[in-house]
Amino acid sequence: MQENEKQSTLEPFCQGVNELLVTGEKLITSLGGQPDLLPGWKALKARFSAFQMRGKDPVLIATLYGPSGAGKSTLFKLLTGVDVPAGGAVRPCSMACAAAVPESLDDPQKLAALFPGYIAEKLVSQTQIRQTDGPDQLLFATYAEKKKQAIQLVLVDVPDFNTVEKTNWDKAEKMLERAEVVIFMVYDNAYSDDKVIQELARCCKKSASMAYMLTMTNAEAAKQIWGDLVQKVSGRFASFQENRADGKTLHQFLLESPVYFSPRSEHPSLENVYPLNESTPLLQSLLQGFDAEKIIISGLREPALQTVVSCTSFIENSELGLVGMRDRDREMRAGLLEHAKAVAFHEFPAGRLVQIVLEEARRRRPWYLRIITSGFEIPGVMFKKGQKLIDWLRGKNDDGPNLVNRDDLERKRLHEATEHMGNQWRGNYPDLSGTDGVLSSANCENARNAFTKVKIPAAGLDWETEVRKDLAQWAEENKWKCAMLATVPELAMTGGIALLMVDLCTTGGSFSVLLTNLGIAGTVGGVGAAVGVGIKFLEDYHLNTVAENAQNKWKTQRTQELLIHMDENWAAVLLQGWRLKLKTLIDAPIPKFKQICMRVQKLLHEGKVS
Amino acid sequence: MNASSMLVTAIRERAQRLAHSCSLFPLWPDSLRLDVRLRRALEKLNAENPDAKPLIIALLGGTGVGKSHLFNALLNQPNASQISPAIRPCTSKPKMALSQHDRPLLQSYMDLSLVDLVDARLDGVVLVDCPDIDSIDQANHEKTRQILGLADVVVFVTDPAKRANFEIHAEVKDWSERKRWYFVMTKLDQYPNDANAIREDFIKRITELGFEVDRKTSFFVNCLEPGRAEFLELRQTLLGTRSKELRALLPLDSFLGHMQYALEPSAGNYFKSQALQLKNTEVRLEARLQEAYLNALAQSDCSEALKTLLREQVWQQSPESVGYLMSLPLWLRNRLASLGVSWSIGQILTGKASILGIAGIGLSSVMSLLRGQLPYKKVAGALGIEFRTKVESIVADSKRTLEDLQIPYAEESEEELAKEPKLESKGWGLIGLGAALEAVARQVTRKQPEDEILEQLRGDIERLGQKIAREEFGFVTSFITNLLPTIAVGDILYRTLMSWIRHDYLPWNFYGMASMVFLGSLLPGYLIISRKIWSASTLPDMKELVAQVKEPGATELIRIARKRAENLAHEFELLQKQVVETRNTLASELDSPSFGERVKHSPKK
Ligand SMILES: Nc1nc2c(ncn2[C@@H]2O[C@H](COP(=O)(O)OP(=O)(O)O)[C@@H](O)[C@H]2O)c(=O)[nH]1
Ligand SMILES: Nc1nc2c(ncn2[C@@H]2O[C@H](COP(=O)(O)OP(=O)(O)O)[C@@H](O)[C@H]2O)c(=O)[nH]1
Ligand SMILES: [Mg+2]
Ligand SMILES: [Mg+2]
Repeated sequence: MQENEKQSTLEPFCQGVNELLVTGEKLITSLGGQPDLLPGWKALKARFSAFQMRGKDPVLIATLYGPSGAGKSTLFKLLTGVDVPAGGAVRPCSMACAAAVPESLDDPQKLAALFPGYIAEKLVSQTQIRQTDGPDQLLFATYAEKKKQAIQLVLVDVPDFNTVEKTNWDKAEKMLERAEVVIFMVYDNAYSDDKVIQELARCCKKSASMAYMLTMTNAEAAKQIWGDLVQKVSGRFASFQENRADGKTLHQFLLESPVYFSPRSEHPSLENVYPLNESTPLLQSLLQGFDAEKIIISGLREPALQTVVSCTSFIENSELGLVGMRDRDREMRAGLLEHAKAVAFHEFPAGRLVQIVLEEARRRRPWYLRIITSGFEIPGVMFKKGQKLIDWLRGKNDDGPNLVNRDDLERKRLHEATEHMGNQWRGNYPDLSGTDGVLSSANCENARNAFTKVKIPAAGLDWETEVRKDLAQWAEENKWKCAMLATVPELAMTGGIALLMVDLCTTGGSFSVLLTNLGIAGTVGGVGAAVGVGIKFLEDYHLNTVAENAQNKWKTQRTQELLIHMDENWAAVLLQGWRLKLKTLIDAPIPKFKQICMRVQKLLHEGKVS
Repeated sequence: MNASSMLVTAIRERAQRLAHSCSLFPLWPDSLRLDVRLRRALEKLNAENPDAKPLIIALLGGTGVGKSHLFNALLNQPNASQISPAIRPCTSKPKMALSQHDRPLLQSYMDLSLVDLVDARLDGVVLVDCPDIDSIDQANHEKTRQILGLADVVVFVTDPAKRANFEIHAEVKDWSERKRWYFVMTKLDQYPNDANAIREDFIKRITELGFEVDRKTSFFVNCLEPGRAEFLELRQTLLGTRSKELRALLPLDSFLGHMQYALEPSAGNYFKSQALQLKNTEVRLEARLQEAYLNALAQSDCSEALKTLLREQVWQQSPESVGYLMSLPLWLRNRLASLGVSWSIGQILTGKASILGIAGIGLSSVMSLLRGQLPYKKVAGALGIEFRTKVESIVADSKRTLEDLQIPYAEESEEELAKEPKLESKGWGLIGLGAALEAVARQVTRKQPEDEILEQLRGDIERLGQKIAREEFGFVTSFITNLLPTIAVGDILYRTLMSWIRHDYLPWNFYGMASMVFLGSLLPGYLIISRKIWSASTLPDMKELVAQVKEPGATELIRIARKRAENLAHEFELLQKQVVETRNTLASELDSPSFGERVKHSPKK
């Protein structure tokens, strides 16, 4: 009955943790994070996986933890009788984790379930511990239980966390993630070492239950040291003011942990391990007297809380990042639009407009005029040189007179626009530049190459259709002018040439070369003059509205076309990685994961996990 | 000036050069660090006066290893430095033991309020007990580091328990090159069974730190029993008197140590790899530029114009290359020709001439005559938009690469600007008016800075022209073409002179005739040169022309950076070699028992 109740309170928690781990793993990885680096994650994963695989009798894992020479291996030997290298001759002398397991667990398979991420291997000789095969190795030996013990306890001896053998640090820390109980050992001179105190904080955070043990010291010194330590970590260290899942601060947790000491001795023995306080049970009875079930669950709670907190802050950071990325995306798209507009605005094919006007006018001229003018070409030396122009305006000659290819020019404009944007973005987003960034020089070059290979899309005919519609109306209203224009197309020449000049100048045709040769700075002056003539022509024929509309239509249409072109063929190549990341962020099931986090956190806070 | 100070001067100069090279890459952490450290070493060298300063020995080690005990026992003053049986860390302010005599000497050298002073009967030696470097009291580490900065010799004190401690070893590594060292292990008495094994293990650890320890510089003592032989030996070694001459060498050794510290091998490797990366980019961009050139030059308009330009360039170079009397007609021709060249290029490039066009060409020809410039602008026009775009891209890519590699660059290269005045003065010394006009024209043109690409093309063509001129107009040409005019002039002068001497004055028309003869004698040479230029300045093969383009302007920024980085890496290596060699030589003088051990291999940090 009671068993059932326990199950039912744990059920939602287990389910929550399971979801947290499964969803989180995928989500965090997809967001470019490494879940294993989030505080609490590894411990929760290891302990939870062991918890789910547990058999009838719960197994409690206790680890020794401490700086080199604290006496971990010596105590391990004393407690379990398993012979591991200990002593002062070589430092450090343990290079691998050694576990002493009850006989019932003398099975690598069972141990693999109990220690996820480890490869269990039977310990046969001390040299195995002196030279190790890697961080995942777990050497085990059985210890003889003196009498039938109340709980199944696995005691682990680990390498230290403070010598020049840095690989050892990871091994020790990894075991700390798994074990529920920690015996933190330190010798007299090391208790205030920076690294030792940092690790002590970590133990206070991770373990379900902890004992602090001072070696090589006598009762009086031990009292002084303990007092000094408690005082040192009380105010100065923010990390000891953090809260555990059980509501205590780390400082409080440390204060409530049992403290032992043992005097320096040539022949250390368990009898020489004393509790600092009289009320504290002996070390052996402490280890045997644990309420295993309770501690195991508490051992889940601590990392669960840490995981929830660290996951939440990771997700919040990602969301913040998403906001930033969205802003940037908007900025970049605005930039694209602006540049597309700028290119399109400079590209109005005024010459083409004249051509259309003439075409339309000619199409509408009355039959009698057609007869009069058919086959009639105004001769004259004056116009000889302009003949090609006229032909071109009439649509007879595709090349046009010595005309610069519009495409080349548009290509150049687009090139300049993309280069400019590239530089602008590199300046605005320095974090995306740099050798490895998405805006790196190499990537910009890459995008440029891709962009140059793609043909610029030809302008659609929509605007022309619109212009022709407008012209139909104009012809209706200005019958005479239309007829004039159609009959004497050379009349259009003055204005037409002027417009053509605009076209050529803006497109950098030969006229602008001439202007530069003449030393006129820029082409503005030249264009201005040409535009003046052009406007006069348009006004004379009441065509300004038509032209204005034509220009507007052209601008809107071409802007869209160029925008799509630049976006698809340049920006998409350049920002590929970044946009992909943005998309994953947008698509990621963040709200769902946040809900899971909140659910687990709520269960932990309400104290329902017990 | 003795040998050692000459050595110092040499190294100092090299170090200053290297520091300057570093300052060109202020955004690289490695170069910034090197720069700072080099300057600090130089400052320290300047500040130190070996005669005025006692030898400073500092005790360095983890908390609780017995430094304070050792200090007290060495001085034979049980209460000199506070100790505690349990509380750690105990020492929080450095204790400095020194004699009354040394106090004022030291005062000028350091701030004595940093330390608690302890009176001691010492001779030219100062002993400092430092706080720890591994406890949670970060302030202690800082204080210790301050003392270490001032110390000449460091005694690394440790005990069996802390002998492999990571933090402590990291600190020793950090200081290893800059100091001279003794090694002391305390508390071995606590491990009677393992004493030998621990000794061996300790020596092994020290060796790992890069030292070659010997019995004279490593000690195993029991601080609680200072009467024992090994303790007395330690005291004698540390506090005994040292030769004054040798002590004078110590600042030099320390300077070299600081150099060694500054010259981290990893920094050298980093510089090399950056230089290589720049080189690769440069090669790639140059290949791109060559391709762009090839494509653009393949257009017929362009090669025609280039041919004319090149020919003209050879003409321009010819007066100088041929020299002597022939240079006169050549120079004259050049001044008159630029109008024509401009004209003909204009015609080639604009295609159909129009009234406006002709006017434009005429005007620009006049302008270019005034400026003494060849109309490169037109060529650039002929190269086409695509070429222009490609070159701009190359320039943009080199800028971006430099930005990515965190290398600052000048928007306008200083080197080019520096070259400018030299070009002005070249070749125009003869004609004052021409030079003046030239100078004015340049002032005018500078206000409208020319297109970068043109600048570059001009350079390329100029170089090629120079090359052809040099090749074509060697001594033989010069001799042959000048032979006739020289004979003519010689003859004329001879006759004139003789007539003066004999008072048999020549008729007036002789001078007219002589001038004609002289001009006529120039003609064959002129024709030879003209023929040579016509035949030689065919653009041989575009590929070849492009291959001639060495150090093009488009990749200049990246080239400058590459050269600087290569120079940095090179200077680095040279200095490193010299420092190590010098220190090795010095080592034979400064014996280790009196001055401590010196690190043999720089440890990995
Ligand atoms: N555990 C313990 N060891 C002591 C004590 N006094 C001296 N020792 C010695 O301290 C050394 C501790 O070494 P070891 O157990 O290998 O330390 P580890 O690096 O933490 O595993 C051994 O040589 C012990 O004999 C004591 O009170 N307790
Ligand atoms: N057995 C033994 N104990 C020592 C020796 N040297 C120092 N101690 C002890 O080491 C402890 C720390 O000494 P202290 O000088 O304060 O260490 P510091 O922090 O390095 O200055 C004291 O309790 C000393 O009694 C030694 O050589 N042998
Ligand atoms: Mg051990
Ligand atoms: Mg001390």
